[in-house]
Amino acid sequence: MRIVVVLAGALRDYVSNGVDRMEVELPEGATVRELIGALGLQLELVMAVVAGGEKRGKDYRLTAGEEITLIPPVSGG
Amino acid sequence: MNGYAGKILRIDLTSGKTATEPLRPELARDYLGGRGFAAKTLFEEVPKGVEPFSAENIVVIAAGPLSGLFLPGSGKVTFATKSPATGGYGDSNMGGHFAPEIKYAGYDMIVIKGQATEPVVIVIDDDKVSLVSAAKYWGKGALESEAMLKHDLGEEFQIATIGPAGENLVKFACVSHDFGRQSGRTGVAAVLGWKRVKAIAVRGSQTVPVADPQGVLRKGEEMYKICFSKPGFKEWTPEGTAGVTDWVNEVGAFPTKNFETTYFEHHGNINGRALRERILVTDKGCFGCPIPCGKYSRVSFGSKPTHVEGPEYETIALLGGNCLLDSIEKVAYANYVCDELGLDTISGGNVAAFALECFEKGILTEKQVGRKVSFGDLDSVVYLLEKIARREGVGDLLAEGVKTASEKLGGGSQRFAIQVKGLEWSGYESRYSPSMMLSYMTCDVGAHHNRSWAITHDVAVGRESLEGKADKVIELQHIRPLFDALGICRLQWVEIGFELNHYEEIFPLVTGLNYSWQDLLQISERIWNLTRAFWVREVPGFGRTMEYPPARFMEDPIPTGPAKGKYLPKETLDILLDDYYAKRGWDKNGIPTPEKLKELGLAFAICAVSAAHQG
Amino acid sequence: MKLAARHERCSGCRVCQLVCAMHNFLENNPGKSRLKISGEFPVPGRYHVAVCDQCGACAAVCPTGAIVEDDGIAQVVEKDCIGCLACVEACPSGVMMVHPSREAPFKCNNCGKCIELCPREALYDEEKA
Repeated sequence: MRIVVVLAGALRDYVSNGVDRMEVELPEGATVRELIGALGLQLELVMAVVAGGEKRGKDYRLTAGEEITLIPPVSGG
Repeated sequence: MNGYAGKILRIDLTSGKTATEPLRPELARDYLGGRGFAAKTLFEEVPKGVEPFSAENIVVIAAGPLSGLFLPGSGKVTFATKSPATGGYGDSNMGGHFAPEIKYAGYDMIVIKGQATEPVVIVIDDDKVSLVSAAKYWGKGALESEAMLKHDLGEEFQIATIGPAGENLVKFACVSHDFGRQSGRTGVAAVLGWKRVKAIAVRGSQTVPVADPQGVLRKGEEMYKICFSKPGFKEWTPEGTAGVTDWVNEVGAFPTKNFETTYFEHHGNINGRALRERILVTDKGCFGCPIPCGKYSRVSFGSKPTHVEGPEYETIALLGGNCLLDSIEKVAYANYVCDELGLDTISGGNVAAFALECFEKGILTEKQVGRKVSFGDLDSVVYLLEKIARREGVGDLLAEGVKTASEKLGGGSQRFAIQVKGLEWSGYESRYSPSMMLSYMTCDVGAHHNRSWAITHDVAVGRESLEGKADKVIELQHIRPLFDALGICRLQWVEIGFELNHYEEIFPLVTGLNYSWQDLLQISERIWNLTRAFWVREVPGFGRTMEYPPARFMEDPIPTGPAKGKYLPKETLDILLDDYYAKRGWDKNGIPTPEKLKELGLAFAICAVSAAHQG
Repeated sequence: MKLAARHERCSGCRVCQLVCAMHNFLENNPGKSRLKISGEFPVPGRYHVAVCDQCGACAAVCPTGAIVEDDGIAQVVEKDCIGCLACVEACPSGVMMVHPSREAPFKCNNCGKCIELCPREALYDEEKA
């Protein structure tokens, strides 16, 4: 299945193609955790996950065509 | 001069005289503004070796060339002084609406020296500057005084106040503004308190000139619209900085129980979601900000509801995790107590936690403290904060900060006095984050995170490795403080990925100066070296030995949580420091070399550091 | 277009005032904008945005007819203004503006830039809502 991934903040600095929006092909039923791995990112580099306007956990199961925003850790001021 | 209001306001409290002078173009050209102006002015005008609490010490309040302009996050101001907490260079950056108003009143910088005979409020109304009696405000809380002054002077005045902590010379007293924005670190408010300045109120009506108004309009609009389009624009704002709380626990870096450990099992109860769902009243932004991180909240303990801006992440870390307060309501209440008393929540949370650990270990007794106190108990924390702000009983010792307090208390307390150079540690425990540890060790005001927030870099490239860590810290120490010199907020870049090139593009439209980003970074490096030279000049024996963290971080493995077992021994830290000093062009003791100073246009500072080289 | 505000969405950032003064006067100066933000702090903790809804009260009281309505938008014709400030008194929203550097009062011309630049959708076009 295809997932649309949006990388917030500095996350794009850590993916190989350096873009902040892309499509990713994943097996049916994959989780956010697997998506992060497929992008070649350290799991801990993702602080929060947003899908459908809701915050989700890293074990959230993705559905085809879904748009997922990955948010990196932010500094506390 | 485009981008600048064009004048410096000088206030001599001893004589009661005020004067203005034109901003020197070379000061703007070489130091930009904000923290650059502060560093240069302190170096030039504070005589070597003066006491922080003295008429000769100055307080500098400086906006930057981008402050008050039509571009994202243009509301930042620097407060600076020779710090009473550290004896070295001290500055603290503040948001809100103060910097823009200073510029609309016609000034880029305000320099305050001397000491008033009676408490005063400095009232700046465009060209009219007056010192007004502060008799009715002295002794009142920082928030309460601001409300009174708004009532007395007019809602459109922008006001900075100090609370009882500043009046009583607490070394970590903060300046407060806009009911919840603080210039929190390095004790600037204590110096204002010593000078008997209760508040500074500013109102301005003037336009800040720019080189290309059409260009600024076009580029400013574009910058806002790009911010609106960023992933994270909608997602980051609801929780603001508090949103990072869970993550810092997940990676084992959360200050917990006076930094004994780095994971707090109740973090889910003091995180951004708890804040948003349980206590939020409204989002509250700084001037020109598209992503307001300010969260204005309400909690009830006792008879009436308490309003406070926050808690933001640092407060959650230091009053929450570090004092083991396990609900967002408790943290918010302790936040309110600090804000009203005029205490920095970062140092305040550290000092309270230090006292609680001393009590637990019998280093402080019930007789000394005046009651039993314990971690996790809101009443204990509030009791200590109030004692500190009023310098009553044990509070008089604690008001000196953990470094001095631990030196006086002994009993092994120095190993858990969590500070560098006299400034208490902020919200990222770094025993498993070498570049963050190096950031804290070398930060030019003491143990503060904001010059280089490098913990994500450690996570991304490997938390064990030391390779390249010094380079990253130096890179960040030039980029991040550059924002403080420009007078703008860096969070649009840090939090939602707004690109740095936009600042490079708007800078010439504002100032007419064709500086590249590299030119701006070089100015930032100049400022960094100048603050270093200030330290060398002012602190006898300054050098490597003053950069180490407390023994707890070098000798005690983290006992629990995701970073269990980790620590950074002194030998490892020396490897990092060797690398860092070499890359900076400093000698093995961390003193800038004459060549480096010359290269950066700081030849005038060479004689200030030459004694340290010989020694 | 009818400019209106959702006060509870406002975070007090004043981007609306910045863009207003830049767009209309080409000046970095929120003091020259045509709308007002006020905060009620520390209690209860909220912002109020005063905007012009083109009600025409200013034009109605102007003794010299210096405020002219065109397509529902009232504007000050500066050469006809005698500076009596009756319009400022009459404005029910407090958004007939004066500034020390300008002889005549000035007001919102419905340009809509504040709506476009408000980061929070606190300002909106009531006719489109």
